[in-house]
Amino acid sequence: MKSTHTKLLPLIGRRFFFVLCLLGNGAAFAATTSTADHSKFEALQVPFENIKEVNQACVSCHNMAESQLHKTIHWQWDYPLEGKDNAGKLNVINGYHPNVVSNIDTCDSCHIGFGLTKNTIEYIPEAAVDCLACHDTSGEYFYNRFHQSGAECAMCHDDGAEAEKARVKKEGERYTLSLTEMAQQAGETSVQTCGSCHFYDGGGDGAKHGDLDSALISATFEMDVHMSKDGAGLTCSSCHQSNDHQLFGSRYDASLPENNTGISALDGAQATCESCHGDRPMYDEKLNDHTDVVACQTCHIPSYARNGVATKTHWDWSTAGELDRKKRPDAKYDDEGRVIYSSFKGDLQYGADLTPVYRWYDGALSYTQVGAQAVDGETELTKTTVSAGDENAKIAPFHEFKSLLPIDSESRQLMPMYLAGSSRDAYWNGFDWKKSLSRGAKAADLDFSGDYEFAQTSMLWSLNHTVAPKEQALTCVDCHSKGGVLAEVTDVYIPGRAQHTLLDKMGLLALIAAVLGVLTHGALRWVFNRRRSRS
Amino acid sequence: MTQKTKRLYIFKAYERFWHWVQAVLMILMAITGFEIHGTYQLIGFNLAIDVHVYSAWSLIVLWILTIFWHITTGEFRHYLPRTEGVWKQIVYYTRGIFLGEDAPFHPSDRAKHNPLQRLAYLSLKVFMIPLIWFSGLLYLFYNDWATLGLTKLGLTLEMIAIVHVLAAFLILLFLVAHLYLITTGETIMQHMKSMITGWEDVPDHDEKTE
Repeated sequence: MKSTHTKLLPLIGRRFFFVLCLLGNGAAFAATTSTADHSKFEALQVPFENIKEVNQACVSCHNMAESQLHKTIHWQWDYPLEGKDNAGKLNVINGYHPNVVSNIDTCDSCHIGFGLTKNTIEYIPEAAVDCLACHDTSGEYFYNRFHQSGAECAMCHDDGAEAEKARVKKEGERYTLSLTEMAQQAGETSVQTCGSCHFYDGGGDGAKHGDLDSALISATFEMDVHMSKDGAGLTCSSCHQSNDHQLFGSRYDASLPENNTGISALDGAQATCESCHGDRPMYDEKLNDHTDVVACQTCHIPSYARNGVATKTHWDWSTAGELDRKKRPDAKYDDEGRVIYSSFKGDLQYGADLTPVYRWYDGALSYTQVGAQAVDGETELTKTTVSAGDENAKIAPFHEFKSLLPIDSESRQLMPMYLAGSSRDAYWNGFDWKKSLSRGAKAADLDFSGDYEFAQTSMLWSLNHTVAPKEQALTCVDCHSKGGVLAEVTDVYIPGRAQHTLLDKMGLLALIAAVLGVLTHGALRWVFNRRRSRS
Repeated sequence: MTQKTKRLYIFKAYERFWHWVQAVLMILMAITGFEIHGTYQLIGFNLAIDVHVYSAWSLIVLWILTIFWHITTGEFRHYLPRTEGVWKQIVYYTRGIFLGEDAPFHPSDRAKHNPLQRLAYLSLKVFMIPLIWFSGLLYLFYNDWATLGLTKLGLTLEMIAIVHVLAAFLILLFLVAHLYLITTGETIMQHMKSMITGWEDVPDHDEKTE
């Protein structure tokens, strides 16, 4: 509960400001003609042999780009947090492809440059960057990049790309532009370029986040009011704006509720709902009264993974490694064509149109480092850090993902996997956990006893995208009723959900007693009256 | 009853207006209030909130007018507590009423309510209604507690909710008793009629005996 200083700005003014911002965006859309036509640049008129050559050509003009990028999380995969261990995928463990440090060769295919070396554990050294990964406008580059640099198929294709190989055999290659043609079309980032990594991480389309998948590229209004052309027509970078290639709005430091006020577009967006809408954007003031403890996303993302692409809900690494009769990796599919078993990965489960889980959240999650100890029961790889009444704590929606990950039986440490590479020790080559984990431990500078088992883990993914049309938002009774969606959020009094049982019982009893009392009194009056009139 | 009666204008027009509007609003608020509380589902939570809040504000306006009316007309005197006659009235309700005895109290210009009624209405006016108003306004302005410095006092929404619901139960108990006791006039409908027309038939005593 805090005083809302936003009242300083009259509501009307705020709405006007919001509309202005939208108009600004629309104007930007209408006028995307750049002052530079890349197809005319001399440096881009050469037949490029490989990606590195393209990037050399880019930086010959954009000579600050490399040094800017080297300072960003997209390059460093390392995110210092005050008073905490560093976040960033170089340091934390997740429940999908759990860690970077022992899989440098493989992770290199997604990294936006060429800095990953075999010994990368502390930091990623400066090296040539990959401009087209983000600035391709043809929509073809990322296939080129991932395939040309020899990415491990199973990273993006759960079945090891078996289905894709079959398609290529039948239909042929789809993507035929040369690197030179792509370079000459270089331009602004788009939903597609961001999505080429962020939609497909976790082993498949929409697998990881739950609110990010390829459907957003041509989203309808129902899918996402912001990114739909019928809606606000925004792109990723409309909110995740950048200064010197540094983008706002990393989930490692999501300042969800701290910036409750609308801020001037001149100050740069903060990638929060409030930075455009303020904290009292609704016509109903009683609804606005909720925004100090309920995040916008809670009501306005009533369900997720609802755009026709399912997200992963469960991953059991412990069942990986079963090969077919010819001792080859196998894959099983469900009716929808999703991989439900892969020798590379184990058992996989999916969900679509899911109801989020809700937690108190101030924008900060705590993360788990590679080698951290698993607890008995379920180890929470990401955890919210606040509870009801804490400063900036709001109820927010999350995608919950569970997985079984290998741990050292003795030290109970979460063990890094060595998944892919040229060696037989790599799990996806040899299907031997013991070898994979000892190589993983070595890369991460950990001890491994040689005995392993699998531990249950869970992760929370903050849901921020796929905001639904307001007609689909949660309504009052979704929370203000017994058995509402906030069942897990117990430490708050919600009118209509919780009642003081004793008071209700006593009150009802007293009422019944009173009614019976007056009925008896009335009946007696009637009886005595009859007796008197007879006598 | 062959007693001679005279007609007395007890309930003034404003008083009847106030009574009936208040009755409707309070019943609306009870119905919607217990829906908001989660006791049942009837008209839907959203509509229940709106009806509850609009009724509350209407009632507040009505009460401000009514307090003004009570003070300026001196009508408040009808609610000043008296001990005299209370016991008689209790004995009448528990015994005399069954035996067909004459009621110990009849309304007059000076006292339109019997001594027990006075106490009951007084407790409604100075205890139950302020209790539900006070808790209700705090409930309504929950988001401004910080500005008002109330969160520092350790006040929680749950506490307020409990007080509000408790007050609601008390008023409902009052309503049950009230609805029954208005049937205890000379005829079952006598009190009801007087609250509708303003006129009541009272025994015509000589001025000497008065």
